[in-house]
Amino acid sequence: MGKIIFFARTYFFRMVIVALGVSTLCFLAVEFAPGDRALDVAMARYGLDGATASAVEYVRTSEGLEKHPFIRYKAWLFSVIQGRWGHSLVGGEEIFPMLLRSFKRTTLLAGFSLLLSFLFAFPLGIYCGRHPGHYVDILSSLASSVLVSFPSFVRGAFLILLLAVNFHFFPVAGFSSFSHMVLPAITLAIGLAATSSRVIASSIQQACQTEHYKFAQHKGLCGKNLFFPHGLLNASVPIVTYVGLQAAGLLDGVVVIETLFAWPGLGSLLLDALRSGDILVIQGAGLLLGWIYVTVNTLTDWLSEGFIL
Amino acid sequence: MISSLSVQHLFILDEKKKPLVQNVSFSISSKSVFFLIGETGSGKSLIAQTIAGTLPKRLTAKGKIFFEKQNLLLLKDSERQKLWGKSLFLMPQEPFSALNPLLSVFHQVREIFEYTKGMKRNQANESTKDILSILGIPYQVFKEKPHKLSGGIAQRVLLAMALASPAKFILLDEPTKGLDSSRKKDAILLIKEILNNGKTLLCITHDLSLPLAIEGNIGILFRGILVEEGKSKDILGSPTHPYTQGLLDALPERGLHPIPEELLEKLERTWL
Amino acid sequence: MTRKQKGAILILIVLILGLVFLFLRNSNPFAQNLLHTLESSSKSHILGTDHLGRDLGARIAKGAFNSILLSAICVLGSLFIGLSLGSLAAYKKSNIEKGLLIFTDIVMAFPGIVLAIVLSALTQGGPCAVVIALIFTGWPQYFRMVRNLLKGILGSPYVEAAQIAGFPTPILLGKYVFPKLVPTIGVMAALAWGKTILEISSLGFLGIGMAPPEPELGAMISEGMSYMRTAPQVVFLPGTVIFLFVFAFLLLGDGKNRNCTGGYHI
Repeated sequence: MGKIIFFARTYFFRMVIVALGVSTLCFLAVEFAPGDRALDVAMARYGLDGATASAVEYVRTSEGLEKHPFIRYKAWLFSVIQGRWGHSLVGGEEIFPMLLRSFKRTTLLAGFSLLLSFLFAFPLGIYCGRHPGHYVDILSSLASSVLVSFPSFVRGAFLILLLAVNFHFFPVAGFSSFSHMVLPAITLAIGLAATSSRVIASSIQQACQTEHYKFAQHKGLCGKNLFFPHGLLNASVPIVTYVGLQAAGLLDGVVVIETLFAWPGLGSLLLDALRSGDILVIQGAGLLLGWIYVTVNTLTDWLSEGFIL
Repeated sequence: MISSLSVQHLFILDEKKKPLVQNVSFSISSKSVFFLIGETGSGKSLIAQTIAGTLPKRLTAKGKIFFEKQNLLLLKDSERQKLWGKSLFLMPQEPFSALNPLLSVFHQVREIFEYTKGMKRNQANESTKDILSILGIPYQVFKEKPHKLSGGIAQRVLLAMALASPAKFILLDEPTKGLDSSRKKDAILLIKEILNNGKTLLCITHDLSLPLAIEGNIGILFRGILVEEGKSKDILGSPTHPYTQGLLDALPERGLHPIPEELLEKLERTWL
Repeated sequence: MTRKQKGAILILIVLILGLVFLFLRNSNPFAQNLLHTLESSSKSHILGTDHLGRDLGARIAKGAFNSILLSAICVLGSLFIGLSLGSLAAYKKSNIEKGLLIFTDIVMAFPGIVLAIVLSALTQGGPCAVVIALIFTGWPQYFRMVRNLLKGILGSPYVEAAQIAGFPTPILLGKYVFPKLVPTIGVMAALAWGKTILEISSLGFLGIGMAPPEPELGAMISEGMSYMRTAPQVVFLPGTVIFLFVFAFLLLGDGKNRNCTGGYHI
């Protein structure tokens, strides 16, 4: 019980600090960035020509952009806590539903990629772990090293060239159907599977060389009864920890892939908002992203502790 | 007297064909204990590994080891594996490295009943409860993971596994390594318990207090050669070989006299 | 040195020679020539031209050079901070150490690339934001490693013996403690160098970091995406160069085969 309280406290503490930190940073970033916020917003709203002086002034006063930063920040914080995340300065949409939509899309892509990578990495990793030195093990090790040394967008570009342009198997980019998700998911999944399969292989290999694995063999266990409770179970602790780390790092990777494949998720949202100076969206998105990151990290810590509990 | 294990003219050679164990022969009668005594480097662990089937691949073993009507040295690895846990039980030295830290002790003992004796889950549960209680392991401990146990209880869990196993032959490697005298008494009781259950025991050790406390047969190993072999009573009571006498003199009870260098040199010259 | 590490050094030498060669041919990575866009190899432009007629080879060479330099700065910066704070934490017990641990924990909770994206809005583009963000998220791993290693070393008998024997502290640190750190930290740094190159190029792809017209491999790939169908070399030549460098660093750091993928994230 004590451990649960400890973790809850750590999580809450971390989350608050990161949330505050990220949103403050976002706020400062937008505040002190060169240029005029109101101008940026006006340009994004009305186009380059429509951003006349009066339009800019209108934006400034109607959105309260002339007030002192502190005041605005405080007001924003209060409204966020109350659940009112404001509305986009550019499109006028309510921010919270906007964020939620993007969040769902990003999660969909990330989740699907993870699933895809597991489907591939687990069997491969387990096979390599049980047969170290086998040519499959050596080949997959080399393949993993090579694949992971390419930046994700290069892998993605290659897949686009190969499958979308040359063979027209999948659409190049966009978001209207399932087939739009395939290429970005595969791109992400390749990188994930490359590292996961290696971690799985080495954890299993190590688990099968421990004293208690040997003793289990000597006790008379063999086959499934040996491998699952004494090999796989013990290997799963480092595997889960690593997969958790991967999932957290996935956040970074997703932003790049979303841009390449024009997938309208959280990452794209943040980038667009930065370009157009849409302050409230930036802050909201930054907050959400920070929260996701902390949650995934803490969950990973939880899970890896939980095995020993 | 039925012979459970018979080692005949065993040679163990390293990669360079240098003999590490030379012409060792002894027999172990069923339901008795055989103590293989030797200092570090005498080759006793190598003999144990050869019998167990865990000899490192770089070493070669020649000779015959008869067990259950088979010559163990002729068996392939996969056939040897079939003996583990069913005919032959290798008792580990250290309970905390031998037991899986993620599974409860109950689970790990029950595995033996389920998979080597083929019992169904309910029956296995009952048998596990029985054997753990008989050995005095408290009920609360059953569901715990090994690292929560005390050393003594962990040892008894290993004993429970040895007794639960259908294997009639148990190989014990250095059971008193690093134990103080009070824990040694527990180890001696452990060995006696195993024998009471009708098992045959091969005990590899350097500790002479064990054969002095437990009746059985003994073999003295010096640098890979068996210098004496027979009933412990006879050999330890009136040793014929100077090395045996030297080992006895080195015991704390007899004065802790170290084996004289001249004796060792003389032995090396004549025997090797 | 293992075979892998020798291979890595070989790749690096080849790459550097190639880049130097491209540099020295006096080709200008900025000279546009709108009459000769997207051409493949020719006498005057070994690797061809990009969509503005600039020599691709020169741009790749300059871009690669920039990336290596930038990533080196990031790695050295993180290393320095991590080393200092880690040593501090190992030497002085109690409160300072606890405080540092909590601080590191918080820093590690920040997502790297996202932070870089946000910070970049602060500066006018340019690499400063990238460097700051990457150093900020990069030092905790060195901190943890140094602290753990030092705790082990400082407690070990031979260091105690040297202290009792009266060795002055600088010599103690220099001859006994420091050499023990070098292999592990060296491996981390080599792997981190490759990882940082990946991160910098990813950010470049997103348009963050070096401002155009300064060439940056990731940014070049991003620009080249629109022309991929007709002139894929604009995308894949820079991509391959990134790959070669990163792979070489992976081999270098991973010589002992402990960690085949070097902790590179996707």
